[in-house]
Amino acid sequence: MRQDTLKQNTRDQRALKQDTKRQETGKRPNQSVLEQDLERHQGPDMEQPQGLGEHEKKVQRMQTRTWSRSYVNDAGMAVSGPDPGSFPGDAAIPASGRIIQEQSLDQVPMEEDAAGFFLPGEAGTFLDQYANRRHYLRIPRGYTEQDPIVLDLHLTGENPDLVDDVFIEAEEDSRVTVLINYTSEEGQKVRHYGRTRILAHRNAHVKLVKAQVLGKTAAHTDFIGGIAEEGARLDVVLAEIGARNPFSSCNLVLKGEGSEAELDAVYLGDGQRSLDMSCRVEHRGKKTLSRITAKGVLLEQCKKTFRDTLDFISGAAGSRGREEENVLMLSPDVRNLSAPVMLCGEENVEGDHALSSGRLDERILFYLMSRGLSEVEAKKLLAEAAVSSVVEKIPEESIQNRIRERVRKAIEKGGQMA
Amino acid sequence: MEKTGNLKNTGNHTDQMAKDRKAREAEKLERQKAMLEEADRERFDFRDKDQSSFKTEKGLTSEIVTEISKMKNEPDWMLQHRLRSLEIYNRLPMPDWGPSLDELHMDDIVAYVKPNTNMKSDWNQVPGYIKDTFERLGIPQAEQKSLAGVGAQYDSEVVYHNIRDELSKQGVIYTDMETAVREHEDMVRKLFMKLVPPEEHKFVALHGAVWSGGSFVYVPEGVHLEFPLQSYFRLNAAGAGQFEHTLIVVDKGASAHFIEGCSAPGYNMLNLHAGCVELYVREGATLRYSTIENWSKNMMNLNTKRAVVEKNGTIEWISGTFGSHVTMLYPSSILKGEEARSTFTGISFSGKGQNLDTGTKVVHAAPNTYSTIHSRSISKDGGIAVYRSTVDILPQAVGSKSSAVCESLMMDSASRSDTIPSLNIRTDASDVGHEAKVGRISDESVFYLMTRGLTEQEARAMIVRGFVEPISRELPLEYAVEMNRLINIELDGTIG
Repeated sequence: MRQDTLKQNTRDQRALKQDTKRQETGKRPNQSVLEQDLERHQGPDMEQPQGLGEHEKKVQRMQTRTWSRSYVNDAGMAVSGPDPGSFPGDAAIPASGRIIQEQSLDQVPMEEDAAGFFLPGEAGTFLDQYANRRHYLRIPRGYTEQDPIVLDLHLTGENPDLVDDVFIEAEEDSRVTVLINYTSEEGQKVRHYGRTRILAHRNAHVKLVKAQVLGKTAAHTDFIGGIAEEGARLDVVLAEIGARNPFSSCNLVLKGEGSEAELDAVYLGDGQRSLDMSCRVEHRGKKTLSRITAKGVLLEQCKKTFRDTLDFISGAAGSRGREEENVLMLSPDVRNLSAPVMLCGEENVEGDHALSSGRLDERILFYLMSRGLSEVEAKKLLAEAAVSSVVEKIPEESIQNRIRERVRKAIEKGGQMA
Repeated sequence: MEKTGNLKNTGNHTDQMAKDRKAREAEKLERQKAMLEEADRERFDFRDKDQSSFKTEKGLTSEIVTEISKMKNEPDWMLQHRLRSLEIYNRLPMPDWGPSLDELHMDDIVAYVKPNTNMKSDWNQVPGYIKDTFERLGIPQAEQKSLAGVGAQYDSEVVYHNIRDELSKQGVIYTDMETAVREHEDMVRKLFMKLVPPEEHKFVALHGAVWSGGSFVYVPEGVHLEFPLQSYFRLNAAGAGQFEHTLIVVDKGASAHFIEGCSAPGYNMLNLHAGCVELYVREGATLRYSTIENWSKNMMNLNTKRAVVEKNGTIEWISGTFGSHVTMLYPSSILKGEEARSTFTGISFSGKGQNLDTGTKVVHAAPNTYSTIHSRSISKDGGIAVYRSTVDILPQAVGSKSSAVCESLMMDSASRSDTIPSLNIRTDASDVGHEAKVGRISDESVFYLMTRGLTEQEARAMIVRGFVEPISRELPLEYAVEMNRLINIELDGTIG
């Protein structure tokens, strides 16, 4: 419902664009274009939840709202945008040269935008207008090369703003891995704002790996959307390791009969950071299969909100979906919110959800310590083990190591008191 | 054109006959089903002529609220409470989540309907038509056999209240809420709508303004009630609201079982039920609160129930939701003392035109508290069953454990079944688990049972009974039998 209004609003907004350009003289200094857009849409009377930062706006994060006291309905989305300009660098593409790569999205076949589900219309407009890194990757029919396409995006003091908009279109029977890797210099105030969309045609198999290992002072807002046609398969690995208040979402639509999706998420929360993630798989086609797995480690005073939704649309007969979240909490002050939602409008489906949250098993900890490991070392080992099943799915060892390193460091710093 | 049509008809003569036969069979099945539905509802659906002695105007104003208070001869603080609640009601918005309440027009609801009798403690003094009603519902019979006390409410007022002598000698109080406000004013004033304040949400505020009837129970320290107490709420008037208030205090080390039953006849206009239940479970005490709700399908059931549990205390919720048009009901437990426990066992069966949004909330507010949630739902014929829950583990609730298992059964694709839980965990020293499942009756199971000689219908009914068994075994026997009967009827004629 909300989505409809937002779409409507985007349309209205485009029509209004001419007028508003003239009115923009009344804007506040330092106010980003997106901020103004949002404000215009929401109006000044829109209630702001407490604890919202200066450059944040409240956006709805649940497909179906629930009572406000569960604190999962809304979240603050960072809205401070960059100055227009292009972000240097290019994608590393395997040597065969068969992949079509364009730096603009004008040719993109846009029938349905899956990323739009969690993306307020205004933010979409903002991305359309201000992206400084655009990639349209078209994977030709029958392509099966093993080497991944790599996008290394490193944010620095010179290039602190990245707005990336990537569209991957995999033609029939192709098979591809795309690895997008976000890093930044520690201590730099960098900002990333991105969108990645996948369209997998018949029997195509796309694996998308997004590893966000930004520095702790970085801002990060990210949207993923994927559509799988008949027999296609989407594998998404999402690592949210760094950034101050990472805000991300992933919406996968299993449109064609027999399509599959596997979504693996791994997150690390430490310090006073706040993580907000929404994942959803929509079963639209018959006999579709999905699995969402999330593994996380939480430390110190961090707050995490993870919403995962399985949505079985009427007609998705013979589909099966499973979601699972395991959270390891290592400090008494963490705040761990989960909303595992299952929506079902079809009889002939199987949906499963399991969530477990708890601390380390003291017996295992004791065992490891009796073997000569210090408490911190033992905890490092166990935390690494907790996330390893997802981390191992990242096809690049250096990134795996970087994530493990971050987990170890976080425990060294924050795990002691636990 | 016509010619070809004729030819086709002759050519497919046998097909046509087969089709006709099928159609006839389907029609027969439909008729049977309709009959069965009627037969089932008949027990609840009979209605009496409106013989009320007093009714307020439709809608809600401070005059109406003052009038209700005057009729009841209430102390001034209660009138002030009502007026304050009304003010809050007018201020609060409708909920922005959950099922749509657009059909509800408060201006059409009559808040207070007084039957033409006062409360009696002997069924023979209750006017005949009201006594008949409760006899048909089986209340006086059950009282004889298996209950420690009975309260019966007809529309807005309690018409009968009685408790076994030996219990009142032990200091057990079981009376209607109005009497309690007058005779146990100190206790009631301290507790009334303190657990569920009118600020909570719009319908609690409404309840605070126009509440009428309900039961008050006090079980003194160390007293164990062997038999359950039962209050039965019957809403007869069309287009009316029922707003009973139930307040139960189980003192230190005591135990009790309270059963709440609700029903109403079917009307074409919407009725509203916005009751409020406040349960105080003191140190080491145990309370089991069972509800079997079988409102007619024109009822908006927007009920609020909450328990606060002190050290070593236990609250057990048993909740069956079968009737009503829209239900929003989430019994909640606040585990306030160390090692307090709560269990929630719920079942809902959502049929045609029903949107049953049920679930539970648990707040772990003390160390080593435990909660278990066990919910099952069935949706059929376009019914919507929603399970909604929140488990809050507060920072001080070190060593707490919570586990939830939630299973939904879809009988056809016209129905919906949604699971919307949220968990808010604020200490690492806790173990929280949540499991949910949605699915249908598997063909394999049906096939297996059929190879053992059952018909398909028997097989499915058996599987559904098995599905609800963990809930039905928690119910008092009469209710378990009743539930099984209800399920058999609901399932009949749907398969084939």
